[in-house]
Amino acid sequence: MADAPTETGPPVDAWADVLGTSPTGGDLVPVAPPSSADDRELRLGDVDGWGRSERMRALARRLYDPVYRHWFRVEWEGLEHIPREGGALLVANHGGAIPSDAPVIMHGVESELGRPVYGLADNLFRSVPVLGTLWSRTGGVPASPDNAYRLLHDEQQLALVFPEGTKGTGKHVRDRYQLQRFGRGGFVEIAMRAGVPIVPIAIVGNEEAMPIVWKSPALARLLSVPYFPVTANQFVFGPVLGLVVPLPSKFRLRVLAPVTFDVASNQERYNRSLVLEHAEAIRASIQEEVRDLLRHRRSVWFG
Amino acid sequence: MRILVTGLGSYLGSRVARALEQEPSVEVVVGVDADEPRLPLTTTEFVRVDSSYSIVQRIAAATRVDTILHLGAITDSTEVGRRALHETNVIGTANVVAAAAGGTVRKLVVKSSAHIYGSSFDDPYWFREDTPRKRPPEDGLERSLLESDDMVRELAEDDRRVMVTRLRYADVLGGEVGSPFSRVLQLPVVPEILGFDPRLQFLHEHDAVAAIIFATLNQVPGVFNVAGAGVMPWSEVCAAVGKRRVPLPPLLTASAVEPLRRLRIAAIPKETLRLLRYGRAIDTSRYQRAGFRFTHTTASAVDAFAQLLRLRSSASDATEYRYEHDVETFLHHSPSVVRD
Repeated sequence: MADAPTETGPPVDAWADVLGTSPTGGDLVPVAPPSSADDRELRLGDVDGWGRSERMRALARRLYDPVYRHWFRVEWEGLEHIPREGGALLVANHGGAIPSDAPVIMHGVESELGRPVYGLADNLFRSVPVLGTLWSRTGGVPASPDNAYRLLHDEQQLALVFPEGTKGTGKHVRDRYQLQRFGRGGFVEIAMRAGVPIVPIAIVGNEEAMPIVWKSPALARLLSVPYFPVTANQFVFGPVLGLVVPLPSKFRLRVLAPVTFDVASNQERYNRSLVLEHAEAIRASIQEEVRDLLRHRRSVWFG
Repeated sequence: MRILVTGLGSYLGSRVARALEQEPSVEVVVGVDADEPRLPLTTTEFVRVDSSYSIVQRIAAATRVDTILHLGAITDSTEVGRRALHETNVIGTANVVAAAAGGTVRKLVVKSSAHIYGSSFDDPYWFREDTPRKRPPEDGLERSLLESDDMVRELAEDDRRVMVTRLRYADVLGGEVGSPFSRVLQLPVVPEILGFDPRLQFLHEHDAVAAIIFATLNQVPGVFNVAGAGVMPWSEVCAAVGKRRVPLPPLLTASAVEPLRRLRIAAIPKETLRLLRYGRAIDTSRYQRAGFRFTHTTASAVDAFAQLLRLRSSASDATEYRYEHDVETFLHHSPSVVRD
């Protein structure tokens, strides 16, 4: 990003004669050089700059694999659209009270492509002990423009974002597969600035994994959560277990062709109408593919 | 160069003065502080002042210094009480800024702390110099650092004759520096907050000194983050120094450590407790682009600290230096002393 010069005084030369510029060579503190120039040799753990640990992810994948394979029976189309190297922003539709789409996409891409996916999300748990740490170790990153830019541009990673946010997951079951507003198009702006493509993903099955049949705005306000749902799962598995166990809906995912932007990267601002236009086009294309997947779906449970 | 250093009584201040003594371009180093220097200094003049540096303007005028290094800000809230914190960080900085504005001073280097950014659950993962903090200041320490930072920024904006460098330090790890984390990691067992394992960043004490020397000898106006590259989770830091962790309750954490302070077992500052919960990392690419080369990353700073603790467990340190006024006056000023 452009480095905003904060304090720029008169030209640097003006001071040079007063202050001089000799580089220091003195022994400031008696210090041994680092034992190793490579940090990896000094580290005991494998937690990266984002708090993600590949070992923890591998464990999570091992535990989640039966769910992925036998519960949701996930099937992908167009996985070849996800780049094998370089940064890309994965964008998908979002649904289910506690959404299973995020772990499914992260699990699928990581095991198929063998490269990490960072899930950008509102960190509702960062202040919750244990949960916040686990969320971070397994690839969760607080969704902020700065974090996203760093992941995509500086580190050329894959990042996953659901632009609908909690408007997508908090939908009543009767509104399933109606894509909500894609925010203010911030995700498009970040991809433009980072100079990476957006890879849209249409997903079906996520809405039926945990459909919301009733919502309590009063309880949501009381607990300061975005929504307080009563889910169909609670009628099947009981009030407590029903809050965590998804129904075994069949998951189908379709990766669309990457969207690239014909603008220069690393700009401070981008044309708002251009950003919104792209955001809406991506939303519409995901909506269209979701409808197409639904047209060909004979059964919620068997696909 | 003629240089005035505040905070000479701190380990960092003494180290910086000693390094400057060896610089051929440096003619005069005058150090002020309420406390005595921590290292024997050969040419540096020490002047004892009150903790708000009220006399620093007169000293600067009398010595015609062209450079002021303001290293005296307190960044550990357990060091002094709330009143004294305000005196040193806010009033002290006001006096230093007054000394720098108008007169012979052409350069001001101020050492501050990354506590300026705070540490909260909705923080971005990396603070750049222009990233605003998320929440209002949590306590007196953060407030005083922010107020002091504002005054220095205003000087930089208003007085174009003075080149101002503001440095924001991550927590320093080192054997002598006495920073909160260095202290905590020397306890027999170290605290953690149950269920939290934050991303932390450390600065090797060598880089802490070198960053100031760099700003002194080079022309780098602006504000810069100073920290070892990378982050490390607290659990790994503790494992690296070979310490067992003891969980503190996630609620009422400050009250839980209060008895430790009362019993004089360990004083863990509030700002350190906040870091043990949410951590913090700052982006140092701007200072690197300005030309500064860090010798240590966060991981190697932790490793160096672990080595030091292992050494100390087997061999005692050399005797500590104690400032003796008469001896220093004799060595500095007596005609009997042979000076080259």
